[in-house]
Amino acid sequence: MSPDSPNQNEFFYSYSADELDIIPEDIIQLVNADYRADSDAYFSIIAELLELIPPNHEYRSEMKLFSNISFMNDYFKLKVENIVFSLSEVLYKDISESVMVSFFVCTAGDIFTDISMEFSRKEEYLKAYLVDLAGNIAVGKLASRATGNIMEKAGKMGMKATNYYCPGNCGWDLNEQRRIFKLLSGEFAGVRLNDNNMMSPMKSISGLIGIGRNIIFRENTCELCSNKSCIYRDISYRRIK
Amino acid sequence: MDDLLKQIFTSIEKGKINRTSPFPPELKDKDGADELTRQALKEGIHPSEILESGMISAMELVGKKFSRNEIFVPQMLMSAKAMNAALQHIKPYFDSGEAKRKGVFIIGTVAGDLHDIGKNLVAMMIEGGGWEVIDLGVDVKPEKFISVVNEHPASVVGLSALLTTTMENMKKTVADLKTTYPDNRVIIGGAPVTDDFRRKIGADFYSPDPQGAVDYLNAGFTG
Repeated sequence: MSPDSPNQNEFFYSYSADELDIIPEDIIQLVNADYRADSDAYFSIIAELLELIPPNHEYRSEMKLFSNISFMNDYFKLKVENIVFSLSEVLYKDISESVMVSFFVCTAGDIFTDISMEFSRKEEYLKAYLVDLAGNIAVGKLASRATGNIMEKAGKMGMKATNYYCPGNCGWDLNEQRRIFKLLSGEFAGVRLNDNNMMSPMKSISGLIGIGRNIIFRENTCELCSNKSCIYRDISYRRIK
Repeated sequence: MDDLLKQIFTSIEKGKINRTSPFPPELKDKDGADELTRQALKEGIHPSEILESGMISAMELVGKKFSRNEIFVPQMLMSAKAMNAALQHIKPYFDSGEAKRKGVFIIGTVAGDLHDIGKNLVAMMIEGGGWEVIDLGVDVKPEKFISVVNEHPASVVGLSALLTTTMENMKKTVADLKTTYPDNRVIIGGAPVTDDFRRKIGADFYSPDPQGAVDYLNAGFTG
């Protein structure tokens, strides 16, 4: 990890593949929890696939703190500087005691998508799927680390931090991503948003973390989500490190 | 003969592609869909019978198991790959007319959306259901769908979107397709898509899982 601070409210972190430590078990728990007999076969395939990610591949995470914020209870809105976010009710409840917020963007780069698409082109769909999952796990781990970084900074100010929340989850409209990138002046952590609100590189994540003295850290944000069959629900890589 | 068809069925259901494939562990060092299908043809079993009794019925079971959360995406992908290995041996008989496809299904992820895994899965399941599949890939513009429908007038179109933001492009694609080809069926799917959305945009069918699409096609567009 190599933290860097462009200014006192903005923080950039870079991780190597070794530091992020994606292991076959991270992926196996997503693919076949009830198929233990297949685990050995999957393990060897996944281990080989993870070898395709160079050890010096850079994972990036950037976050910015904002203290000029206000909440509008009636419509579950959060105003940050001059930008108004429309939150979901559940998200609003979790962060409305915040006195500061942090927005973050993390990316695993293009490598997972590139490798996955190459396997798709060769009709190696299982490998394509497993590499795609590995990329999703990477961004999940990055978001957890970003939350850990913000918790540490909040602690130094005598405050606490919430878990992370992302547009597209917890009832928060995916279109809100546009506002995050506007607030962060377009490109952040090397990630851009296209006209369809899709981040480039694709294996990226953006989100919000609340900071305050009276906030509560919700260990498992999956309980806010209505998608009960999501394969990422309640899995361990989301734990904050 | 029945035994060989049963073995083909099992190899596809379990995702045993060929003798060297490591899945499933309990069929290690046994012939897979590839070798068994070749053997069945060699023994004179009609390609249509292999297709219907050994292959399509196995994929139907796989699709149903997936719908019931009894298997997951990797197992389904392995079954589809085993199906594909078997299909390679049947394909020459489609050309000769000894075996028949049920129709043409054109599939793609809508403009602006680059996600392909769900779309691939549906494509494989529908091909496994006995249809010829034309996969247009990702980020497919409405005019591309229209031009391919033009080449295959009796085709059914499948649209995939993974983002709420690209659902708007799905709406436009359906509108453009229905303007030009009002009689061609359009099926939609993807994580954020719902049947309510399907009604609003005028598509013909929505399925939350691949087997629902296969059932709709094979039942003559009822579902």
